[in-house]
Amino acid sequence: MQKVYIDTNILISYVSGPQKEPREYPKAKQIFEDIKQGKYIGVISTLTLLELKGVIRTILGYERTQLETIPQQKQADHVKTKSVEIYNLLVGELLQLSSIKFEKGRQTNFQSVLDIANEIMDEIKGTIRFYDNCGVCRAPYKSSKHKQILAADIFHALLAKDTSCDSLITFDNGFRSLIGNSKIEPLQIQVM
Amino acid sequence: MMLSLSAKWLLVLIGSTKYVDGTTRLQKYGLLTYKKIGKKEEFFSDWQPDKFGVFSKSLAKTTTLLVDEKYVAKDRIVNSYGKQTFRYRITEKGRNEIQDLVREKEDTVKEICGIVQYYFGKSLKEVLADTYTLYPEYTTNSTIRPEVNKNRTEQESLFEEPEFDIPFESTQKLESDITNLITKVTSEHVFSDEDLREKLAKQIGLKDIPKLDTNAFDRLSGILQNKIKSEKIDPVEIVRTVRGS
Repeated sequence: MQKVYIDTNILISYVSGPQKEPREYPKAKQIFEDIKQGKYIGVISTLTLLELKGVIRTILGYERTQLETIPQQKQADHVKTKSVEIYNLLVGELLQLSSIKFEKGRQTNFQSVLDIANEIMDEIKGTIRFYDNCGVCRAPYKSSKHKQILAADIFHALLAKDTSCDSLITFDNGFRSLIGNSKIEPLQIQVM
Repeated sequence: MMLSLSAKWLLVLIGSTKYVDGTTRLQKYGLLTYKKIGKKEEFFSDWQPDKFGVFSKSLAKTTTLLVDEKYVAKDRIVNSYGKQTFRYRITEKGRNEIQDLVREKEDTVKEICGIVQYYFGKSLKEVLADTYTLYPEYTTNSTIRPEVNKNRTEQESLFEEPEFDIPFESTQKLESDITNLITKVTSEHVFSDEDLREKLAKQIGLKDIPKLDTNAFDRLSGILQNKIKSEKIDPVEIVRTVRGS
């Protein structure tokens, strides 16, 4: 059976649900439906779970109205406590899913991962984008940005390869630059 | 080959849980078992202070024998501190060897199971701290005593109690389950990720790995709907934010 590494954004989409995340949720739901039916094994890595913690904290950090009701020195504690509560709930449910394999990495040591990640980063060219308006207020503002693969993206791909996954599925277009990379292959990158 | 009674009790000790990680842990379980059953049953009694607190040469030799004779499987693993260690598991041959003993001396078997199962989910530091507190006479040559003492102090201040509560000293019986001694417990987790599942379950405050449940897919779908207030979530952007984009 095929082993498919689930990127964090797919998991986030699935747990967010159709109301909060209408754009990608149907695809995420289909992926988890396929896993449920045993069409393939979904792989959740400890790196994904680590990011899940960060994502929950980030989302809670956006809840300004709620945070303003809490004394300033207790706001960070509130986010931490509530994020642990939500994380525990999510992991508790994840542990009950069939056809899911949890992975923490196998043969490759940390040093090798960093070496390979460095080489991949050197090989991949980013893209330049030009903007004429401010991204927030849309007022005229000329700027440019170099978009590139993120170090964490490479770590996910290497972890997927190291744990013998056949493919990595993600919603993030940034992963496209890894498609066909000899250091990632035979792992297939699928951007949904 | 005829095994000594001590060797059979050691098999019971190892088989009380799915595995025992590390020689140090195995030795400490050995001492606790000796203190519990040593007066009524034949068990290793040559306990000496050693650099890791307490050590029985005969228990170590018998462990090697049990591994060589395939009563016990010994696997090399990396523990949670990132160090290489050995994992000891009872084999089918080992189980068969102790069936009569389990039947005839069920009460003693349960006493051993109670100790080992109590410490199964606890860290080695906790095992050491309890052992050192109970039997300080074995710590004279220990090179790790300061660290263990530090851990004890931290725990004492944490619970604001002057003494440890060492459950197997109390009159209350520890819970014990002899299933693993009678039959191999088959796992529903078929992808050999039980260790990680166990660790994750422990991290989130569960005693055991939750059972698989097909309804969990439905429960997980949209589970954040009522847990967070943000109206919309962009999974790609938010993950990129966490990744440092």
